[in-house]
Amino acid sequence: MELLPQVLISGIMVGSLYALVGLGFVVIYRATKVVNFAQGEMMMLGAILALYFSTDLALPYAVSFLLAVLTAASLGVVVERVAYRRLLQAPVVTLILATVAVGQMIRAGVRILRGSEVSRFPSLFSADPFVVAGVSVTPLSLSIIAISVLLVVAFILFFRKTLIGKGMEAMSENRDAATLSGISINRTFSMIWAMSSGLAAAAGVLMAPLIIITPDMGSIGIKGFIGAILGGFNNIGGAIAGCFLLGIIESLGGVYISSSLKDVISFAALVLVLSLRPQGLFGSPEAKRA
Amino acid sequence: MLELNKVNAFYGRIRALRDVSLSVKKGSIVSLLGANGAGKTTTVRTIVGLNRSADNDITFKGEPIGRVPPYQIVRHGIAMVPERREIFSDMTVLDNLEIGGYSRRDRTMLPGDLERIYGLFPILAERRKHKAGGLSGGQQQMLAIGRALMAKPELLLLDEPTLGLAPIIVKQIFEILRQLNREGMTILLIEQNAHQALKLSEFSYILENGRVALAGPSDELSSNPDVQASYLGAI
Amino acid sequence: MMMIRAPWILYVAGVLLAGSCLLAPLALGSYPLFVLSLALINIIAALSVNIVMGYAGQISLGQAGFAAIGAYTTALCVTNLEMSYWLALPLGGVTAGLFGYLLGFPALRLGSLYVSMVTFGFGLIVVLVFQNWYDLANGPNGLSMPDPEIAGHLVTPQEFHVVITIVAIVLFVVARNIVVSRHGRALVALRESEFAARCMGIDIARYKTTAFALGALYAGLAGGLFAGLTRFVNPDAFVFQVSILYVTMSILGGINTIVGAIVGGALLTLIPELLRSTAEYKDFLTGLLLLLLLMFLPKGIVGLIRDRFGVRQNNPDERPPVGELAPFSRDTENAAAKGPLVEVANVGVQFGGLKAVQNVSLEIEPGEIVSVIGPNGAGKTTLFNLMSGIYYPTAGTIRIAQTDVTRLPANKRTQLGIARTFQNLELFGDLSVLDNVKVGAHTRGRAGFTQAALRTRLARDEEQDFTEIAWMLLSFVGLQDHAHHRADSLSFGHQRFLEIARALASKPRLLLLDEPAAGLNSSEIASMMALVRRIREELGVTVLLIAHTMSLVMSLSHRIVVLDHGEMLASGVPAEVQNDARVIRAYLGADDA
Repeated sequence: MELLPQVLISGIMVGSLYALVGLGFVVIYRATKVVNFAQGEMMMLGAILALYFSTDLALPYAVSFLLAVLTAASLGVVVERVAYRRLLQAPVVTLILATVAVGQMIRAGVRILRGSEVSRFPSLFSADPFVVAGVSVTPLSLSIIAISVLLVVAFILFFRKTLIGKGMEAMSENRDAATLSGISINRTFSMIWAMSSGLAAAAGVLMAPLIIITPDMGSIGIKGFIGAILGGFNNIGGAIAGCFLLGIIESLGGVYISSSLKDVISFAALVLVLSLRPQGLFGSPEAKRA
Repeated sequence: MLELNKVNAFYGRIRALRDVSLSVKKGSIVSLLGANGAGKTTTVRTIVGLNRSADNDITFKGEPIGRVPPYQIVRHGIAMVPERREIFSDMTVLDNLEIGGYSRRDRTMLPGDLERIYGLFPILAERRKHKAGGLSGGQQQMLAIGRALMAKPELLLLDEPTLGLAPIIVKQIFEILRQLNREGMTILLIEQNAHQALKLSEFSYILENGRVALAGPSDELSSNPDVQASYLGAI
Repeated sequence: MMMIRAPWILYVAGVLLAGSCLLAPLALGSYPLFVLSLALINIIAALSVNIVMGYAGQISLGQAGFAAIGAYTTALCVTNLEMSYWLALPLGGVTAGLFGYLLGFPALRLGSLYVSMVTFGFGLIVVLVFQNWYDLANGPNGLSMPDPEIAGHLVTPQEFHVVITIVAIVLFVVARNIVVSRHGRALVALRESEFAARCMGIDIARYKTTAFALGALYAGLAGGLFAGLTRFVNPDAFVFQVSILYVTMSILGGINTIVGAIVGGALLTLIPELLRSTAEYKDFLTGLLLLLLLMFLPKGIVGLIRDRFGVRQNNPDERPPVGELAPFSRDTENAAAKGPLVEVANVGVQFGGLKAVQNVSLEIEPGEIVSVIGPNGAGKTTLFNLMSGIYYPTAGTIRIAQTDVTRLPANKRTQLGIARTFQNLELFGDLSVLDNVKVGAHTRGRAGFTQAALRTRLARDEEQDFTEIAWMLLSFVGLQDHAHHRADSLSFGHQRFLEIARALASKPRLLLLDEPAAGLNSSEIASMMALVRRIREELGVTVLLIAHTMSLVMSLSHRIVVLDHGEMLASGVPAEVQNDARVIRAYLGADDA
């Protein structure tokens, strides 16, 4: 009886992390029409950096969190400057491959610097469960949900309410018209890559206490992408809803079907949705010629 | 105010402009006419830097602007209403107008300017919370003009603002342009709709195959049979 | 610029290379030989990437997944079903090919973004499935396989190397035969402009799925050979990094060339061995190399050499004698007796709520030159798109030569004798001028994929025939001196003429010209006018054209049709139309503002 709510809560927690990563995917896609295959690696990097700052340098948790996010964001900006910006005129395929290459470099680079050792990351909040209305929850999972949701809401408000955020939206919608209104395409792209990388890193730091940190944990990041596609890649709200949905589906599937097939289930959902409803469950179809 | 001195420009691989010279005096309305593919759009895109001219041969208020990046052009005082409006259709009407004022330093003046634009186009005030993509063609055109005005430009470039609109809307839009001009706005208007543009403007240029084929005071051109020939071929 | 007689040097180099690979077991110790075997297998895998991504232009991040399917199918058939390795290997390739075919379907509807994701997901799932499938595939520990045997004799690594070499040579020759055939050109056409490819009569769906299937077949065979070489398969050998390695090999060598696969596959197998680097460094350097290649050398080593030494430069000796073009039809003679060639009746189309074209009716007699004019946004190009099958009308019917084509897809209409050009040039920029014209002849070919792969008599004769007509058409439009140039290196004016030659290669009865004079200077406009006249008079082709250049319209057309706001405004001989008050109003605007 009590299993289902338990599973739902863990689904929501996982979904909120996917939403952070997925938001980063969507922001970049809307502006550049590119899927950033390095997003998962940015997430992994966030976890590794936080681990480094808090364990190796013994900095407080909050400072480590912030530093990890800022470092990842700056790396995002640097990569955009050095590599992606030169490829803006190239075919989309080229840019996609470039992000694949960057992802591979981050993954292998971390392995070179830190080895493949697996590590656990301490959390600020306890993982000891307490029971509320018959459901046991941990302060840890609640804190993860709270921080992720807070970040997602903050970003949505930023895009909807601030002039800079609206300018970035405008640039994503219509480059020429945004340029004519005085918005710099280069500056916007720098900000977009910084934000997207920072979001991924934040997801990585939040996720770290739950899982074992390895250079390969980035493959989880791709779930944010799948969730975003499930919901609809073109609209931020739909994409985030899709991420939560994916988290819940996975948790349900993991408990009621088989935990080792969890990843297969999510990819199957992806292929299914792409074949039946390419615009996503909550997205509106893009105009396409016959 | 705006001077083009023998501008050559390419549109993709086509040499779209050949030695185009034109000038727009402060406070005037100048129209740029010509058939499809004559190079009108390339001309304005070159002025704002979305297209590059071969040489640095465009000046605005005496300053060369050929090397100014396009996003800086609006800060120099030139705003453009692009062809096919190019509004941000997923954003609200109000957001579109706010983006129009993105470059402004005098932010305190923005609410007043917004009111002024709502005064010119009351329908925009009514629809300000709606998504711009849901507006009718004429309303979208008004929004595109309003967005450009929010930048408080000294020179307004309009690329075919009446394209595909019903005659009654065309009339309204021309009326607004006339009013803006009376309030001191300098306007460069691109039109296919030659008769009305000739009536509105003081001076006109007619492009043909990337060159200036005819130029003169608009009332003189109105009675010149060569104008019709440049659209429909010599009879 | 240095000129290389490419074919000759390449043949000699190819024979030398193949020979030394075959003889390598005599000279090399067991480990160097193993590395060489591995290089050959990687070359096959790189070929698979070249076919899918380089030629067909479809992104695939899951080629290692196909290799895994090939390897596991082979190994499982040998161990569980006690099948002979020599039967299991092709079976593995075909199984992988089948998966490739199925995976090609999403690519029909989705953009490269989603295809990249689907193929990526596919690669991951394959590895996950084998990792978790303990019963059949022994999970992460992998499967051991007995040595392949021939008639009871266990094959030694030396002998197996010879087998790998032969398979690699065969697969290379087959790939090469396909890419120089009309099917190979169709794949490139698809990559360069899907829109134009459809209008050349190329069945997009068929070619996309075939490309995926063929690429997967190659990857599957590479996987099966790998299983035979190591006598062992495990999931780790086919992870995502391996897919990326294949892509990097392919791009390093030159993804748009077949030879590139040899260069890239060999280099990226041998160099890491020489450096004896650890896996981490290898992965990092592969990523870095891929990024640098994309930024600075997207065409790869072979592409660079081609561009540098101008292998495709025009070579005057290679020009076959040019004969006279025979008329494509007799439509100009005695036209009235034949009935109209085109009957467009009350046609309309809506996009969203916008009526782009409504209630347009138009008849064209065989042998006429008819022009469609009208202001911006009048629906002229939409009308062309309706006639060539890019859009289907929401109302009305279109008949061509008494056949109802209203719901016929674009590629089928080409076979009925409709050909077209495009307002914003849609040439296949990476193909030579000559090959562009040959793509135009695509629908006239009968030789299938297999015949092309084996280069049968029919395939060769057909190719010869295409080459001849292409040369004739190039001299017809005056581009024979540019035959070996890349299409995108031509001047803008020449590109317009090339589009016409390409459209004529299908020997159409009706030619649709969308703004043939736009962007041309006055002397080019004069030769364009002369060309359109000759197309009608010498080839007997009926012409419908859209134009804004009034001098051209007025002097060429038998009749003019004026569209405005998607509707037919007027129609008649040039002088009537020029003086029609409604037309003047449409162009110059109302007088009463």
